[in-house]
Amino acid sequence: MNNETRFLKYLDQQLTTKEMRAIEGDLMREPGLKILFEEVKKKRELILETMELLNPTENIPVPPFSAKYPKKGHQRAMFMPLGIKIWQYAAGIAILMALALSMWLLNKDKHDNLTAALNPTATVTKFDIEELNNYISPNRCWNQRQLVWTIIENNQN
Amino acid sequence: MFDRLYKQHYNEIYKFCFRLLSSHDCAHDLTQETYIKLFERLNSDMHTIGNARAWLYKVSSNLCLNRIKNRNRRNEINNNLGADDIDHSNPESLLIRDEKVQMVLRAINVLKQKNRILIMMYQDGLSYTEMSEATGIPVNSIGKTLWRSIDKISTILKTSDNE
Repeated sequence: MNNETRFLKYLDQQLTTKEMRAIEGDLMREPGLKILFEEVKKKRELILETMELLNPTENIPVPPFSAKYPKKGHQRAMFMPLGIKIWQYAAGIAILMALALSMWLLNKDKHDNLTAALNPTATVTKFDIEELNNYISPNRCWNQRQLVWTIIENNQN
Repeated sequence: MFDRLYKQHYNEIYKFCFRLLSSHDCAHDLTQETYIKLFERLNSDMHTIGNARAWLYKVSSNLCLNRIKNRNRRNEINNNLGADDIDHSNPESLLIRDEKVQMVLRAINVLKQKNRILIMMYQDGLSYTEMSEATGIPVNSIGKTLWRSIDKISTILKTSDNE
């Protein structure tokens, strides 16, 4: 511990009685140390005095606490559960939506490729369902299976 | 117990926040928030608090640092320290005070954030043990850190005076 720190602790009364006595003895014996001690004391006072300028000049009234607490707590519980902010919710939702979209697109491609591999003719013969549907029935209550059978029958005739 | 702590330390916590944030509104908000945290802690696990004064300083300094971080992020650094607490009836005194305050601020801002907080706690008369508890700096290093900060600030202030 250097002398300045020792003197500062002495001035702040952070030393044991024994240590304080030792310092007092040193100060009596060595005039050089006495000068250093005065310097430390002066610097300490100057800093504490100057820093007072940063304090507010007027008196601070102590507001009642109970009036504030429930309101703030209630607001928190309603709008920010787990301390999550609104933009964080929005970002989370956007990420989830992007994930869902990419999964759907990937699966769609896979499904198309698989169908093409299993049934190569399916890709060759393609019907315009709307046109056929109009041809078969104007009320359009047919499902695709019925539609196919109807076309086959139609062709046979 | 809560009421006693509230009345006893409200002012010093408020001033501490004000010195760090330079705004009455922020100081008020964060002091209230500090006490909300104390209120919650006293209701749940009171025995973990230890020294209440040190705990209050620790919580309020963390809240202030978060607020400063957010401010910096939004580029909303407010340089007009004490602007809303100066006597506007005397413009000359206002100017002199503002100049002095800016000088002290410049000197303090040279310090690391942790040391800045430490010296402000020292100004409020916290014991070395309390400061150590609040800042996490070991008790044995408090004296040394404090002296370095005091020395640095005083050198900067002397240089500014000479200029």
